[in-house]
Amino acid sequence: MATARAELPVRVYTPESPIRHPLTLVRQAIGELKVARSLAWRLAVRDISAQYRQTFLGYLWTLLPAVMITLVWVTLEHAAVVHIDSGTVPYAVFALTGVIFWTLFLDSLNSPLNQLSGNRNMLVRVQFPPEALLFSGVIQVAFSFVIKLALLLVVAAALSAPLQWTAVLVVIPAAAFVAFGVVLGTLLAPLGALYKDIQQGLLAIVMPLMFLTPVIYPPPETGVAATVMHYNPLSPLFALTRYLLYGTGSIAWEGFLLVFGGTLVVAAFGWLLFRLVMPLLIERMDA
Amino acid sequence: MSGAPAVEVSRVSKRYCRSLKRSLWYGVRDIGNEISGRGQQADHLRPSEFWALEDVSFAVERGESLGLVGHNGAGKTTLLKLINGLVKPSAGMITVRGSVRALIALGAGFNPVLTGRENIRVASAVLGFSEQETRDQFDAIVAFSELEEFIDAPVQTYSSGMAARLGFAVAVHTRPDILLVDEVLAVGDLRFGMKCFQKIAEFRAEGGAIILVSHNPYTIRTNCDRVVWLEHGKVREIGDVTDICDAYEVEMGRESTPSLQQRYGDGTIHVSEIECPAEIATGAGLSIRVVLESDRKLDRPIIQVSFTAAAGQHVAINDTVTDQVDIAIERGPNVFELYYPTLPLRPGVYTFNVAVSEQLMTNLRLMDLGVGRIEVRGDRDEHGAGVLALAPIWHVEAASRNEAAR
Repeated sequence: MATARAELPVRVYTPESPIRHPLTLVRQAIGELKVARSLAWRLAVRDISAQYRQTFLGYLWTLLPAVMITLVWVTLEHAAVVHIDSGTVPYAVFALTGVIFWTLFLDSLNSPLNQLSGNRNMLVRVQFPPEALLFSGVIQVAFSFVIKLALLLVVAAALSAPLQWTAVLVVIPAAAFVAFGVVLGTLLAPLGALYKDIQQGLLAIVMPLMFLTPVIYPPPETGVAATVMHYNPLSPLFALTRYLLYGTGSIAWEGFLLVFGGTLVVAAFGWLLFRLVMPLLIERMDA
Repeated sequence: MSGAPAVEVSRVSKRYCRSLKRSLWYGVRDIGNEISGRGQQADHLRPSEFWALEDVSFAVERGESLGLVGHNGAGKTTLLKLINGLVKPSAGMITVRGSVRALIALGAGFNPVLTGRENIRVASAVLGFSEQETRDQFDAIVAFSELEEFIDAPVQTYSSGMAARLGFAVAVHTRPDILLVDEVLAVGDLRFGMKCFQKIAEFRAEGGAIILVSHNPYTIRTNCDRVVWLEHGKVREIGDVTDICDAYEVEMGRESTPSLQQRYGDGTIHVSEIECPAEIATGAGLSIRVVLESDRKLDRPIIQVSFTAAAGQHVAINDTVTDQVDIAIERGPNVFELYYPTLPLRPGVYTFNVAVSEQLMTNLRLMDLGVGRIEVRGDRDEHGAGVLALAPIWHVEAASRNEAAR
């Protein structure tokens, strides 16, 4: 403490918006990244170990929701209630792939808001880099995804799906799913921290949204659904995922790059926005 | 640069909203202002808002310990949040030179399912320790908390005192330049509280600046150099610890009396008359005459009398059963007289309370809190702090003085 007195960090708090000095804002944000990273890691370890410590089946619970949804659709398909042409890929594998990556997106989307509300107590008492919460959320989402991905590979191999060597590259679309979800979730988080409507709204649109996305069936060739899915920003992500895993369909590279690139650009703004509004949210949080 | 104060609060105001619905909507608007660059500068209140802090200015030097006193809602905690950078001011400016930590029982970062060991790691990270620092300090933290035996048990099996100890143990091992202490040491046992204060004293000796919030004037007296007295968000007085604490204690006594004047009971009986001097000198005797008006004859009545200090603690409780006094309460007025040969209380305001029960202490017929109000006068500085005015006679032998010097 006594050693570095000459270069003590000086902080000035005024009513002024930090956005008026964008360079300082960015410099501060980058300066705190290292602290945020190690804190994020601790928080993620805390949440992951706490989440399953009181369960008997432990991490297997991560798999259950995805497996259940898949089983429902496989049953429907098998009983010919619906007819879905999944090409060379066995339908069970096709559906499980879709559901697992869809959950990856959903978990990412919900993660910023969940982190904010789950760490209220800390936020109102301790000053720490708030992006630690976002990173911690990403680590937790990634952790549960890896378990699900392992299941997918086992099922795919068991049902002799045409797994390609390009499957290792599936981390690229996976990263895109996470980035897209987390960035969207971060943009919604400030409003969502104030109004519960956001969380309720997300719950309400998730189901219909799933049917407008090529999760459990491939995009149709014609019709309204085809148009919707064409413009659905998640479609190119699913297309790339399935192409890399099983070599089916085609990749809409320009669509994918547009979504991924756009996400990364917005991510920078979302990050700064998150830092900017945090004091205003904390002010209105009760511990 | 090194001469500059550690914390400078300059003409700071903060507005808050009382209505939840409005507060949320203002939140959205504030976010809009922040993004558009207009900021939070405000010189007026919107509907349902109030000034939690208004035009507050003071500075804390390095190595100085500043106390914050004031009633609930005076803005003490808000002020700490502003200095800690958790919320933004609505007007004014706060300059903080050095790292700031709040000394709080970080039950906040704790997860009850995880062990003490795991929670120490998390709490340390939240308070800004690096992994290396956590490893280095780990044993010291555990030793300080005195929870060696329980460190691998889940925190949910801890008593609330143990959990608080663990939280403080982590917090006191941070090495910030500025330490904010909010009322924390009230929890946990006295001995552990002393340990924490010892740490705080060490911290100050090393040149750290402290801002300490407490309801307890004694805590402030023993730990602070200067005091800021906040009232309804404004600085009422600022200055030397003894002057302000004296004034604050008198005020506290004056104000707490009416709020303490509460009456419970089933209406069988009430105090119809009381004769009790409004003022006595420290150590003087005291006579009190009470007339109890009863609707009926009580079966084996018990009368309990007590004194309460301004801060709310009981000073002395006596009752007719323990004192083995035979009494009867008949229908109509019943007169009782009490004589205290000496009342060695420190100067301050005390309330006198009367309770009447039948057969058992729990069959309460009347509880009249604050039926009497006595101001004890005397030289404030003469008898130290606390409730009792003891005047010990010190005898110091030359040998022990030499020992202390060594």
